[in-house]
Amino acid sequence: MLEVKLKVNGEERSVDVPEDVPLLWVLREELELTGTKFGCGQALCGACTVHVDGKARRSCVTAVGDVAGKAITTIEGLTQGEADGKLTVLQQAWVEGNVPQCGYCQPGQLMMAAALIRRCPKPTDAQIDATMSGSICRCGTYPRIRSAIHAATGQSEDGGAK
Amino acid sequence: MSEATQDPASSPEASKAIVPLLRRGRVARRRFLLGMLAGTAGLTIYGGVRASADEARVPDPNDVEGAFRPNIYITVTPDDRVLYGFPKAEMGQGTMTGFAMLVAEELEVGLDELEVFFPIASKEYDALETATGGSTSIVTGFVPVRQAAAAARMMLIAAAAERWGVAPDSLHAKAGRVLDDANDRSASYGELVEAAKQQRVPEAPVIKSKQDFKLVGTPARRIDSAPKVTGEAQFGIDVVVPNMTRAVMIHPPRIGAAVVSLDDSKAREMPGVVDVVITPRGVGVVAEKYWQAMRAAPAVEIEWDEGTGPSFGTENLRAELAARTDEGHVAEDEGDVDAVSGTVLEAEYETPYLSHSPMEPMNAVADVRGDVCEIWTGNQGPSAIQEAAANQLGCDRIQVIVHTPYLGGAFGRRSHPEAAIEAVWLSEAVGRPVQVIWSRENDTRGHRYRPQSHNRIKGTLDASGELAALEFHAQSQSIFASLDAGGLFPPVIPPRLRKWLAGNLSRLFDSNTLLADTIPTEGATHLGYAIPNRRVSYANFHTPVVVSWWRSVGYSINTYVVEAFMDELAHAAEQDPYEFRRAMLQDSPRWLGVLEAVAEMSEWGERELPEGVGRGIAVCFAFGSYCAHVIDAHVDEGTIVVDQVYSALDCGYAVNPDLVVSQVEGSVIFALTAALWGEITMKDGAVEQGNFDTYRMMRMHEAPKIEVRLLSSEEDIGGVGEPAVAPVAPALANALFMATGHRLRRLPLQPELDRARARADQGGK
Repeated sequence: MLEVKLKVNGEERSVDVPEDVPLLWVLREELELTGTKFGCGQALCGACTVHVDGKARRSCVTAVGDVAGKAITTIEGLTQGEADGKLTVLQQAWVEGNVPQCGYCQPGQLMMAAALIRRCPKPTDAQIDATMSGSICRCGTYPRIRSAIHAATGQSEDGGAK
Repeated sequence: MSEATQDPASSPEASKAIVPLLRRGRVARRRFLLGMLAGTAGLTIYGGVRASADEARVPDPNDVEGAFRPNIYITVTPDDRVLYGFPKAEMGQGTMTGFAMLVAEELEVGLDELEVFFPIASKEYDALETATGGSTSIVTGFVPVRQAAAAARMMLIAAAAERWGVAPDSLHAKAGRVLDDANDRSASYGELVEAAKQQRVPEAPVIKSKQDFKLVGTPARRIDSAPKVTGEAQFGIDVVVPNMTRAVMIHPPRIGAAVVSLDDSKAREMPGVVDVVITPRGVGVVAEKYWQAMRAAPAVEIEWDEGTGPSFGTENLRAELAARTDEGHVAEDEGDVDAVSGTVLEAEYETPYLSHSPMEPMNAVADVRGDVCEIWTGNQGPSAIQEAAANQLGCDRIQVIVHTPYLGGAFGRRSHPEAAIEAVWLSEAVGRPVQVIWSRENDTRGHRYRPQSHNRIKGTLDASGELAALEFHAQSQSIFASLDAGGLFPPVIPPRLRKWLAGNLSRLFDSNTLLADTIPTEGATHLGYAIPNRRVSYANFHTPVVVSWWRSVGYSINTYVVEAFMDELAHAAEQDPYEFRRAMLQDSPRWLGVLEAVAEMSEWGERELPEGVGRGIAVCFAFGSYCAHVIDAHVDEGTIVVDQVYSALDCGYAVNPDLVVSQVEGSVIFALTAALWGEITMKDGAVEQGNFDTYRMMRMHEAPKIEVRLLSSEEDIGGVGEPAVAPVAPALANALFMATGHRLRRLPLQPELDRARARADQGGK
């Protein structure tokens, strides 16, 4: 096996796995970062979403060799850049809005939402739909996810500025 | 498979692979004690039985040295920590927060101060039955959870009273302290721990009345949100134990199929593979890592037999049910439906098999070792898993230790122990802990479905247009009869669960015999409508498919049939569907309350709808609560679009109103998914759906606006997690009738609408 060098949540890590192993399982089993979830294995549900160089990627269909040397951020690393123990404004909006139910899809939802507001700081409902529709929530938290994104970006419900 | 014609037993390669399973007595049967806690004997339990002193236990977080532990659930430590062992499953429904609010309220501590954890399954925690389902947790826990906390408070106050030589009545508790206002002194709970231990445990703790609640009844924040937004929350799939292996299960491609021959020689040479094991539920490929097992699984060559249902298919079943005339059992018979004359309307309705499809695929870790079997799995009934595993291993239930982490969704699916038992079999075979993770396809094809059903309904309108008689006949498959899944898991309803069912659901069925199974008719009986003549009956049918509780269970089928047909009757009587219902609900105030609420919210009949938009209404009583929806929908180039949902729920009293609202929102979206697209079909004994591309879920851009109103009636508390599922499908079907003129009597609605439009295009009706 080849050693694959990774940069995960700002840390240099190396793993002894074939380059075509999905990033999802490398994160979960080799690096024990279990916040990234397995939902479908085919990029259909979004539960496994992470950031690669700031962009949302489905880790269940991403070969680990393809992201060697790139900056990978998982849900565990989302708070980097915040003061110790502090949540991001997005995570805080999730908590304040009682968004999570079972919570299993929420790491993926948050990684999608975080990528969205990075490139689109005040998304409209249509922009939220276009991005967030890739992530399935079986508990049906969609209305609250929408509200939380608006709240985190300082907008009222209809997408207009507060 | 390719060259698997030889008898597997005669092939040295293959015979090596077949590990004899079900070796009874592998786990030595004996009484054993693991870290038995001194002083736990006789811990008082409210709302249940006393614990036996010699129950086997493993250390649990409540076992803090020197702590005050007035009952099994609550612990106060000398350094002012307050711990609460939450005895239920948290699968999104918010019960963990609800119970914690009840404890914090009575114990006078901040909700944030309480350390809540999931205890291992034991008879002690089971006293407030640990099975989670039927929307019963808050209903059954509302008093006993508070009693447990109030007992602790009373004993801490008594301890302070003793120390200060004053009457307990002159003291009160606040923010984790006992206060003596008259003498301007106070003590923290931690300071009182030693003295509190010496106090008598109150037999009947004094709990607050609702008007004194400060926290309960407020829209407090969920206590599980923070770990769920940081990835910290541990679900079953996240469990890692030392020396653990991971397994892919290759389930039979057809229902009931068994392995004829197997060649695992290629798979065994692949990196990390530990073993390939034939089990009664398929073949387990065990490897060091899951990705290794995933790679090895396709290399296992298996020849399967045809199974019990090689020619079974849901289309055949539909035809069979349509032709059947079995009268079955009568569940309700009021007046005389045969003595009524008038305008008769008859219809047949159909609903399909449905998969639960929680986002977390089924999984479990099992470690069978020595005289203990330890299991970690998200589940809705740890005692059922203990029973099932003990039954497989031939040991006592107390030798099975069940840990319940967070559940990544369940909806009824995690009431069943298959994944846990697969992990037990595999761990027994390889002699190491094994984690089984089902693929999404495993999960969709997991053969625990809401029953397919066929319903006949008939109404008679008298000369004045009033509904004089209603006859309802269900053909459905009994969930109870299906529970033991081909005899793999008897006894599947353990005596304790049976007792709980009797205590909580006696309205529904006789849990001793399980004969009077009224789940197939729930939602059709006990209607609030004043209909003088009613007859509700049910004929069971058997199929090789294993059926299950699916969020809102029988109501999810029968409320659709009854409430869609009410719409048909209203139109036949040339009455407004809302007014038609309203007239019949004058003596059912809580039915009427939710119905009138959604009419008001939606400005029923007062506001013109946009061109092409239809509006439907439906109401029900389910799980002790009352719910109504108004749904606005239209069809855009053949695709159903749900625009807006107005919902009203009367659950009597809401412990946390915002979490109740979130359950209604979630129920609506869950039910819309099923109503629009949900359908598990079988052909030649095989399930046709697999991943989310073929078993479709509602997504963000398809979710309607949902407005929810809670009605507080100060009546008994009702369930919250399920009632709002039931009236969604009929309200939507009724809206689509208004929008399109097509009466959709078969779920799911999108393909049924497609068929109706195709028939109309061909000039049919």
